[in-house]
Amino acid sequence: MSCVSRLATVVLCCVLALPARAQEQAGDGPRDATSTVFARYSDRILKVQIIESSSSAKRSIGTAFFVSSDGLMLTNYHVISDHIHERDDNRVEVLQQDGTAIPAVVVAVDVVHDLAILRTGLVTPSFFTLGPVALRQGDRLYSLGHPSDLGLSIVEGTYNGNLKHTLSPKIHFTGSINPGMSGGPTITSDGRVVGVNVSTMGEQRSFLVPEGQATALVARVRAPGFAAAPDPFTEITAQLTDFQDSYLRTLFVEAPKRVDVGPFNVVSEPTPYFRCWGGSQRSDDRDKTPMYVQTWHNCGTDDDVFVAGEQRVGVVAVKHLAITSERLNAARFGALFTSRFGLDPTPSGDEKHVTVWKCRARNVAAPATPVRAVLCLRGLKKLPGLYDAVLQVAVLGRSNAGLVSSLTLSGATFENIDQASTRFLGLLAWR
Amino acid sequence: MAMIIEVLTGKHGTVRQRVRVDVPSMSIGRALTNAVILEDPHVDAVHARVLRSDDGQYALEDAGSVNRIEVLTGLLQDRVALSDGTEVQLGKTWLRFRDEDAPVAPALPLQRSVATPARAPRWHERTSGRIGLVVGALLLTGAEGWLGSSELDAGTQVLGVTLGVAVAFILWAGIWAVAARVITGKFAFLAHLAVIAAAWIAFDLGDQLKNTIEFFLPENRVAPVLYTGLLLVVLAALVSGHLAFSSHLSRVARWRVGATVSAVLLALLGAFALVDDDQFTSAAAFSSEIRTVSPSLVPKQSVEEFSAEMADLRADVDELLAKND
Repeated sequence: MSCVSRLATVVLCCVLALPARAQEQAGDGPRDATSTVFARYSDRILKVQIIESSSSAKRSIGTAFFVSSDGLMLTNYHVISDHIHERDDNRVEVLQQDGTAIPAVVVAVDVVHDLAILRTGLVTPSFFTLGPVALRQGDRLYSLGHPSDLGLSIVEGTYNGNLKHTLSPKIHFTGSINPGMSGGPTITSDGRVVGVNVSTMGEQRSFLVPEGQATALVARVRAPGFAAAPDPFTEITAQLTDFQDSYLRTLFVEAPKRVDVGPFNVVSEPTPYFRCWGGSQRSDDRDKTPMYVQTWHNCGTDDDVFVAGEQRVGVVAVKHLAITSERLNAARFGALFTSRFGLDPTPSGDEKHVTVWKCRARNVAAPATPVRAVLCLRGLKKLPGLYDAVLQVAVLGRSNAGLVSSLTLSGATFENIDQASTRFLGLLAWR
Repeated sequence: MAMIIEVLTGKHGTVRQRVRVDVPSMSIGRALTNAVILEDPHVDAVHARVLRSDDGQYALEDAGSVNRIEVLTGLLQDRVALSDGTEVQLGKTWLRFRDEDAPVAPALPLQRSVATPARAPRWHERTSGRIGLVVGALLLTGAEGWLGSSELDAGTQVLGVTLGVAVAFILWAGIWAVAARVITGKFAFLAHLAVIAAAWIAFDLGDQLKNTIEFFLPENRVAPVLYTGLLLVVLAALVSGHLAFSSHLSRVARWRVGATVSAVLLALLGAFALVDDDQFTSAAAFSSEIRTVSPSLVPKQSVEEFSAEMADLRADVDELLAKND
């Protein structure tokens, strides 16, 4: 699942279009309402483009909307992230309705909720006032933006509540948000902002950042004494550090759910925002008794945080693979166990953002069973104090059964990695 | 004292024919009546005569030939006094004259007689021992393939791998055997096969030992040093072993060559590893060896000690980050 939503975010950053689904027309009523909404609010929406300096051409586009009379604009962080990472090579421009391009500055970002505030110096009589909106599942909503650079468009859809399995809140909007619409608003027919378009899984499964997060970011900018951080990464690092503290400090602390996987008893679904999938496979079906059987139970969080095109953080994954055999002798089972334990569990990464992995392997007397434990760690070059880590553990003790479990954390402080790893070691046992 | 005439293949050449002179006069020429018959169209039917004077000195006298007698300096002469080592040219044929009591070099030992004949050949010098080594190496390969496979059709895989190794052995030994034939005149194919088989067994057991130590004492510093040492020695022994059957080098010289080759090879491998180390990769390398032995036999750390190791690891990563700044 997490890979699907990750893919969805990637899709939004580039300009390539997905085939848009034709909206169903249900009589004359909605059509009238939609055209009215469009006519009334389209002047509050702008196109954002990132201009690559050496070619003087746009490398990506997105959408922004006015949220104050003095010209503050909301968009997604991922729309302007190229500018954050390579400020000199990528400048931000905002296009007005008449097509004039105006350079924009990034005032503040909320990397965790994928939001950013821009300012151009323009003032506007026409803007959205942010504030809480009461909604019921099924309410009709309108999403505005620039899909695939085809011009400002409006899309109808329905409100389907908040996602249940995410770390940070996200609204499930059933309607076609397409690349380029990122950063645009989704509103009610009377012009109340429900959320900011952020990502899609395709087939009308789209996601919004709730209005509350946007309001909070605007309030931060409005607060007296606010000044934009000279180095955006200081701010981003601080936000990500707080974010990982919010879910990692308590990870595995309260007795988490335990399940049986093969002959093992392991941790599963440590918090409600994890989702687990499982399966089992025989090595071959030619004989009645297979050479060995592999059973897996994998849990992960659904969402991750976009930092750059090649860099996501916030991933938490817990994976278990039990291997059992009735036919292999101890030496042959050892070789099989070694080969499964040797499979590289680490996520890939880009040299711009991460160091190489450094690993330590040790035989450890974990509380419930002896294990072989490997911790791999790498540093995040632009986010000082945060690391990616994978703890891979082999549960030892029998010559015909073994468990390979791993805990993957990304963008976490060393303290949290250390504590989560130590707790994880206590959550693996024989049945 | 008799004089020996050597017919040479050329100027300072090797000897084609030797004739003993112990009569006062003896003729040399192309005619079949001569004592020394030369097959050379530039030589007269009777070209020259070897004459012994009363005081026992020998001389070569021209018999009125067309091309006369040429000495090493290139001069043409009618009479040449002969002593040990004198070389002359008749027509296009070179002759050398030797005293019969001139010393000769000691006999070169034959390869099979390196061992003193009194001693019985050791096991690895016998055909049965050598075949045993080859069979042992192949059995080891097969057994390891079987133990390393967890698939239903392990047997077929093992057979394939073992045959592949056998073919590689034969090619390797074949190359050495051909080189040996050129240099020593003997193929010694089985000996070369035994040498590569023995080295294979040593490499393999060393590798197994290294991996087993790696499981019990992960990331220890001694095993890699020992393993590199073993590689150096086995590689030197391999080269030196092959040279024993394909050269006339002494034992010391053979080991010197072997040590040089193995040191250079390992240095090259080390250099490659360094280059590799410098490249960015998002793949992780870690020690993944697992042995299914009773965990009570395995030295273990406490969770607290492992946590301290993590802090160490963090210091390593921070060092990388600092380098990046």
